Amino acid sequence: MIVSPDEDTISAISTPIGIGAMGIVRVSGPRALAIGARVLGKNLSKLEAKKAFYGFVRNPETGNLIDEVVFLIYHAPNSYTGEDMLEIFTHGGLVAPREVLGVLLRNGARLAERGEFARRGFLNNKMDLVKAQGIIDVVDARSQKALFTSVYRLKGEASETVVSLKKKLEHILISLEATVDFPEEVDEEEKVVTDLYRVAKEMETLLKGMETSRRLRQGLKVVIIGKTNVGKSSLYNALLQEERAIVTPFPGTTRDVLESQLEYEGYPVLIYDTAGIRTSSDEIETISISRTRQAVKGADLVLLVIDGSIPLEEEDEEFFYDLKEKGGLVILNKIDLPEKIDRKIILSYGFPLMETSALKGWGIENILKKVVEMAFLSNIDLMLTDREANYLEEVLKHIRGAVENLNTLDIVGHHLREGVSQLRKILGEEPILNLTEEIFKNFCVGK
Amino acid sequence: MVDYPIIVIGGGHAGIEAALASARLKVPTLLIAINLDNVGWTPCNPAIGGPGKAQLVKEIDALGGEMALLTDKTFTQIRMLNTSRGPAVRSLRSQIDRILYHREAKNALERTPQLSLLQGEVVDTSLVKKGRKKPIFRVTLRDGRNYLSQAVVLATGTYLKGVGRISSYSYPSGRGMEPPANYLSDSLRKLGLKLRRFNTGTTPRIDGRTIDREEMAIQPGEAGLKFSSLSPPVTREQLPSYLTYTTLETHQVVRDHLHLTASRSTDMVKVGPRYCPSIEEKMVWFPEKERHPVFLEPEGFTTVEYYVQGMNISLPAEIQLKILRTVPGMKKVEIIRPGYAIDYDLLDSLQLQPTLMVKNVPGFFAAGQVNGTTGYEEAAAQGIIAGINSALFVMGEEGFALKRDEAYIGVLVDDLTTKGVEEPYRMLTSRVEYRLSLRQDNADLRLTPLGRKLRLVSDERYKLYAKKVKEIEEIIAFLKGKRKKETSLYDYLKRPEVSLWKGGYSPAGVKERDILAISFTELLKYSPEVLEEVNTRVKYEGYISRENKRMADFREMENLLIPDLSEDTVIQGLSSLGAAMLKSRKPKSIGEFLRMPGVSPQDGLVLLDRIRKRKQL
Ligand SMILES: Cc1cc2nc3c(=O)[nH]c(=O)nc-3n(C[C@H](O)[C@H](O)[C@H](O)COP(=O)(O)OP(=O)(O)OC[C@H]3O[C@@H](n4cnc5c(N)ncnc54)[C@H](O)[C@@H]3O)c2cc1C
Ligand SMILES: Nc1nc2c(ncn2[C@@H]2O[C@H](COP(=O)(O)OP(=O)(O)OP(=O)(O)O)[C@@H](O)[C@H]2O)c(=O)[nH]1
Ligand SMILES: [Mg+2]
Repeated sequence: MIVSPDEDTISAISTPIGIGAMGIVRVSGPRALAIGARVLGKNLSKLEAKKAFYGFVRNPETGNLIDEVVFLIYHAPNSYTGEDMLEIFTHGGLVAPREVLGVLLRNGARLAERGEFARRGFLNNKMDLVKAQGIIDVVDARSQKALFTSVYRLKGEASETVVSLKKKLEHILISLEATVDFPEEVDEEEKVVTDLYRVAKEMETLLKGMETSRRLRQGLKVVIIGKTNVGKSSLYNALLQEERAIVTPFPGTTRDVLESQLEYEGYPVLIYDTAGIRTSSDEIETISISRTRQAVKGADLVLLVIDGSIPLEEEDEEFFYDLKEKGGLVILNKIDLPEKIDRKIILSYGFPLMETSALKGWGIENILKKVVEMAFLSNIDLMLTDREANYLEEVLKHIRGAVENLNTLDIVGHHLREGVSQLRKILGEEPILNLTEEIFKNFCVGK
Repeated sequence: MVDYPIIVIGGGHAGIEAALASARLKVPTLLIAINLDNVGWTPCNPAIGGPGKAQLVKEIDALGGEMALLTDKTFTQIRMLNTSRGPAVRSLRSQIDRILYHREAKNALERTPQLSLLQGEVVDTSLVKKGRKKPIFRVTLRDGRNYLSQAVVLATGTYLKGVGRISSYSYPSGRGMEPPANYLSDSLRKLGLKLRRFNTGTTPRIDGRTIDREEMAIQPGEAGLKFSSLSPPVTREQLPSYLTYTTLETHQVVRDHLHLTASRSTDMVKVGPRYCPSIEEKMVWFPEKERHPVFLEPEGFTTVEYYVQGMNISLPAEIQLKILRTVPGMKKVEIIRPGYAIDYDLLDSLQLQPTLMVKNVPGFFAAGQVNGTTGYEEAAAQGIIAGINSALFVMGEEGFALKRDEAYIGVLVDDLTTKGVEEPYRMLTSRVEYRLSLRQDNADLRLTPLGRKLRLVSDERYKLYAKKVKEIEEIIAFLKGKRKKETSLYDYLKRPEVSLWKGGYSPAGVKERDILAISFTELLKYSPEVLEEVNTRVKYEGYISRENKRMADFREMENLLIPDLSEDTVIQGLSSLGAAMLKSRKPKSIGEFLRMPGVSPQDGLVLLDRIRKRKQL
């Protein structure tokens, strides 16, 4: 598609990923300012064009702060693309630009295709072809390079899974089309249904892989939980090798959720310290507790800290619900002190247990090693770039759509056609499969 | 002065619709056919409709054509296929009485004012006077008579240098035992047209008194169905067809004689339709299949002949008999007419515009099998387009073309004229990008207003259309105004277990249905077609609106027009394939250009850039 359809508003990160102190996220299209207004919480159309403004990007549903930003607006046709545009300067690094892009995509923008900004500029008469082509080439080169020089070691063979998924979907689609076009000679309806179910199941694996790949791109969210005074903040500091959180001998020290980023062997990890939960009526504490709950909700893994120098309490045991839900490790802390705890009870929950002394720095490296192993290494066969992940998510939506509509093959056909064409795009093939050709190749039809 | 403004050569399904359309647009038209007793003949399967084809028939009907009406008057059986697979692929299929169909077709021609008939073989069509707007053609018959016209529609089917073949025995033939047209091809070449050659084939016809129906599955018709909204309800009794299967023994006999098949034992071209393989080809292409279905279809109410669908064959007649007798139910079968193959000359369809006028010969149109398609419906669909455009041409008006997002006819013509065909082309629903929107049930809503604007749609048909539109709006307003279970009735209807009315077809697997017309009896005053239309529209709303968005993208590309670039000798940056396509096929829009084989998106950009720069000069 070389022409931007109405209402089609695109967005992308325009700075190299993970490099530099600043990220730029661009939005272009007829709804750029409307979408911007939603996430910035401001009416943009009244602002002066091409002037820098200060603001906050928030999730419009929850009101949660995503990033503190500077932004500029442009009115059509006086912009790079010739359309309404919004440029958001975010914090640098890995997380901020992606989260900002994410919220834009969830609020009506679509991820730009490679070189699409330049192409739109060209189509709207903002630049000539030579220039547009130059820009497209650079973009291409950059994403190629990004793949190889990325801070993380991506396993380039993502495509094997994608190729096999594509083949399966194509096959189902061809059977379906042959069935509806030659209902008197071909009846593959049952096969279509069972094969679709099978693919939908296999999707689970794929989803896991996508999850891993998301973590690789955005950082693994590890949340430290446990009752008060067990040494959560001490552990947080030990993991970061920095005194970030306040540590005191008094219970209830930590009141808010703290977030920090670290890298272990090249894998990005986001660590969260939380307030210890205990039954209380203190208002600040109630707020703290709800913040903790929210952090746990967004966690990929939790580390449940238990103080080994005192007997296990009911308050400790309540945290096992979170551990069950999210997965993770039990950290038996304060092992420099005499042990007073009954390990059997802890072990009976069946989670891996690691011993540490946050105070002395014992066993810290082992935790990171174990966490990375659990989150990344078990699903390493599918590593995707943003673009691929985005297409793949579309594909999964279509597989789900197909499964939900099994009683009307025309709708199933629609979803499969769309799904297959997304997969072909990921693999850089022509988006349209010549169905007629395939039907004749695969089925004996006709009088 | 010309004798007739328009001359249609051919009385097949293409010629019939073409001549009816141009005459109904009040342009005097002469239809010439080699044998008027075979007008509207169905040389192959006596069947009309099926997936892809039914949509064409409904579209022809919506535009004001005849095929649906002829079918309703003459079918021996009608059924709905794909009933539980969704409205977008649901398709009517009928079997017609061959002789009755011909009679009704000829009668329709004879009833039409401004339309004259003439029997004779055309041997030459030449330009007496060239001209972009007002050319004059001379059409010459074999006996030397001449007729002058302003426009010609070529609809000669499989007749051009047709050769019938049964194994190594061959005979000149248009089809069946009719004479071919052996002279016209050369005259077409003189006009500057490019010709090529395809083949096709048909099955034996057998004596229905010699088959054992006990050994076959019976396939009855369904009551209450018809193609055209203009037809009165059809209540006549229907004839069943029968289903049986080939056996391993059948396959063995075919294999033993493969070397005798026409394409192997002679120099016949091998460009036949792959969706309709001969039994010989089935053995070679699908050797692992243990059986193939065989359908026995009656050829009419007053004949014992049956068509043997699945047994397209060109082996010697006595071997055909041997093969048939291995099929359960046919041990004692007798053949009345053997199956045969035929090869014939046709036009390269890339020479045509979407109006079906030949690009380099203004006033000269072509339609039907002669353009590389196969099938009665495909022929008729092109016929009506060529007929309309020949009339518009004579009247000096802008041409009429349908696009891929408007109709199956649009897809058919666009495939022919931008992609070209490598084998006889058959319409299929899988060729259609916007299948959820282009359905048989809404063909009238899509096309009748266009047909009306062309003055082809009668008052009666237009009234039915307007009534349907009004009733649909009424029902939708009603649904939006009533509430049930905390939502509007309109949204409630979107649930899979809910349907608007009790008839129609429910999706597979849904057992308990909530039928709105039971509690809201005011709905019962509407016809099933209208209720079904609303049902589909509401349930598919989300999908259809997404498809509409893609259709808008498509139109945007179609509207980027390419001006005459003939003075540009070289366009820098175009791929060599892109440049070749641009030069030889002269696409009208960037969209059309991008659909041509070998053209890349990059080529589209380059060309657009070039067009812009020219505008700035
Ligand atoms: C053996 C065979 C098998 C086929 N199998 C199938 C099949 O399985 N399925 C299917 O859908 N279709 C099949 N077809 C094709 C189908 O019959 C045609 O596609 C359809 O009839 C084409 O319609 P038409 O109007 O283009 O031409 P036709 O129906 O062939 O009509 C041609 C007309 O042109 C006239 N004519 C030709 N030359 C001249 C001339 N020089 N002067 C005057 N009049 C002339 C003829 O008299 C005739 O009236 C088969 C056809 C044949 C012959
Ligand atoms: N001996 C010993 N003391 C520890 C260890 N880890 C933490 N402590 C001590 O335990 C006390 C509480 O530590 P914190 O890290 O603040 O505990 P916390 O779980 O964050 O507590 P809250 O924020 O109040 O929930 C401090 O006095 C720490 O010095 C350890 O491994 N060994
Ligand atoms: Mg703390």
